[in-house]
Amino acid sequence: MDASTVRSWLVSTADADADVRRRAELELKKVSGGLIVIVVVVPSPSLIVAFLRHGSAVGPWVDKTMSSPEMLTIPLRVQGEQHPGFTDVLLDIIQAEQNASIQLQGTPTPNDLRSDGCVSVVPL
Amino acid sequence: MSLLCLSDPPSCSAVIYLKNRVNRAWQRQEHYINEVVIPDDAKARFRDRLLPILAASPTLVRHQLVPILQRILHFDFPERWPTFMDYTVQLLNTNDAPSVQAGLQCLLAICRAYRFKASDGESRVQFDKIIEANFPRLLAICNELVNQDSDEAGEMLHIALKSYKHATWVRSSLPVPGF
Repeated sequence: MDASTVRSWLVSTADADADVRRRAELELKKVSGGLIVIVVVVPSPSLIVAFLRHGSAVGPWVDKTMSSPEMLTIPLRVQGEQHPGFTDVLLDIIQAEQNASIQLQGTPTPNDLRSDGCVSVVPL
Repeated sequence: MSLLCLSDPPSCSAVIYLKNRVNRAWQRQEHYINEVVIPDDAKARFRDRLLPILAASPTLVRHQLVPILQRILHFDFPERWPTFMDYTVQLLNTNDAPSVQAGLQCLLAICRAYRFKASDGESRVQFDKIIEANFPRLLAICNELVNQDSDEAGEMLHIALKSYKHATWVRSSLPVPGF
């Protein structure tokens, strides 16, 4: 996962083509934390209930139409980043958009201060 | 928001995600029990990068970054972010209007943060030090800004005056040590 890839996904979320938008949103969900599908094999409904109570599922719905009675698909909403460093990548993207000339570069130089030590605010 | 998204969709999306993520996961929240809390090393990197990015961001992105800063200060200042005021002083001392504006926003953010801190003598001492170290500079900036006619100068003056307002509120509400 690199900044340019994530940036391209972010740009694609505003694409006119709905399919492009959907694909980009799916990719972003994968890395940023979203809906993932976990398939579990359970022998009895009571175990499903136990799993939902003690697991991290936020919604108790189980899509039985998508699976056999023995294999149930349980969607879990997993919050938070799936890829460590995703926040760093987003900061990279914000930083890359900025005008490099006005980035803070360490301590101010003596030229940044007036002779009396006060701040000289450059007229905008 | 839509205007921002049209002009700069990646930054818009990124900063809004970050704002939500920090709000929900900088510390464990009752309302977001399933949220994975941001690891300490990621928090440290985030703190290190936030102020330089804030100083260089366009206005609309900056408006999203300020609540992030506010949230982090609430939890991390001063123990886990001891360099925050040093950066703020640097920003206030630059000869660059966007950086000075970022410094003013930092100062306002710290004044606001102290409104929600514990009302004890220690907080009062910490806040008094912040005022003594920064408000003379703030006054100098205000004296320059009142002579300028631009909208940006007006906005900066507005931020500065809000710092005075919050500082007055904090100092009148926190107990004086020894009393």
